[in-house]
Amino acid sequence: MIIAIPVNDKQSNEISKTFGRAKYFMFFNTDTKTTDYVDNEQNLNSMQGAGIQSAQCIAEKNADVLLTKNCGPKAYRVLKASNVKIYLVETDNIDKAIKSYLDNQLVELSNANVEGHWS
Amino acid sequence: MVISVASGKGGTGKTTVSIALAQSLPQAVNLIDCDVEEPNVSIFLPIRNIESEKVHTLIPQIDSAKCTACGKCASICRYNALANLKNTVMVFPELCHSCGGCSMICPHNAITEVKHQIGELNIGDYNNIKMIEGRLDIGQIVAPAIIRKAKSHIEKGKINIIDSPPGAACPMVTAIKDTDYTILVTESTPFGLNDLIIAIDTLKELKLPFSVIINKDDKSNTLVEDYCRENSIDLIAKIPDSVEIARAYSEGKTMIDAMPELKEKFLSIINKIENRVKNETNINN
Repeated sequence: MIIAIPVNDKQSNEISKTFGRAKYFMFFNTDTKTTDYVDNEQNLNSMQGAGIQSAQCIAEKNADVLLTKNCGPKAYRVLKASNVKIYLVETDNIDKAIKSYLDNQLVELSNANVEGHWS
Repeated sequence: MVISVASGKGGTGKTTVSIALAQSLPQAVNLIDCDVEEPNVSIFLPIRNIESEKVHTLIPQIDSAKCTACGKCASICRYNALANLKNTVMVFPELCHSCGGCSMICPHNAITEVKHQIGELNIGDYNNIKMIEGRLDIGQIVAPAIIRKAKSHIEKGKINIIDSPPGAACPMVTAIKDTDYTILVTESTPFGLNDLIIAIDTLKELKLPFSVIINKDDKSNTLVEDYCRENSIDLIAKIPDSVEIARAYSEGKTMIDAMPELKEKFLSIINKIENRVKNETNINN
């Protein structure tokens, strides 16, 4: 399966605090153990709808699961409609987040946990 | 003639000044409340004979039978109002700016544009004032569409006063665009000056003639006056910081209600502006 995580850069092990305006999306394939990155630069300064675009990106890469620190209402709508399971993580650490998911320690999100940034 | 009243910083007294200008005139005048996210002219004037009309924009409706989820519509949308999913397209009506691009580009004719209510116009009168109020529905965000609808009630041969939204973003620009003259109402505080400068930059960019009014002038500092003098900005009037005006405001009464002697002052502001517009003098270059 493919696990998506919003991250700040490709080197550090840090999860982005925001979803829609994260710098990159990391896609980890648990079968092949490979990692892919997609640049999310165009959404950093998007005037609106960054969450929508970002959620589309996650869906396009066929992610099954999204691990994130936050998820806004519009992103949530798109992800749910694309059958991506969303889990909130407390840790800032990518490896710990993936481990806690695989160990079934996370609860699936049933609604957006924050408002949008602008609209 | 169309005079717009804008500011930069909110709460400086745009509505107060707009109403004062309208009340100072003996003849019929249109007062157009374009602060559609929080119109407040009708709080201070007992408007009667109100007629309402709903305002709509157009938003895309996807025919899922014809849609192949090719993604062209989502890709052309500058406002991220469309999300392309595996076998359908999701619409976010509140983000749509009704450009019609999606419906034009769909190769399968799967998109029709349908009416979507975003607010209303309320039109009524009080004495010589005809008030046209634009009001955005709660939850909607495309203010410019209602502002344009309100401004469509501008009448040639009459004086039209536009109460603009605060700030210097799309709503303010939509309100002041194509007006004959703009009054920038400010207060003599650091925040007031900071936001006034931003508003002035916007007006210069749009090449619109304008003057500044300092409201709530308590003579404690000359920040704005000095700035205007140093930058050759026309300071057309100063309104004193007065307890009577503040008290009247707190009771929902107008500046002219509190101090009828100010009528002359506002009438002379309009006369000055009328002369400048006639002579097309842009005194701020």
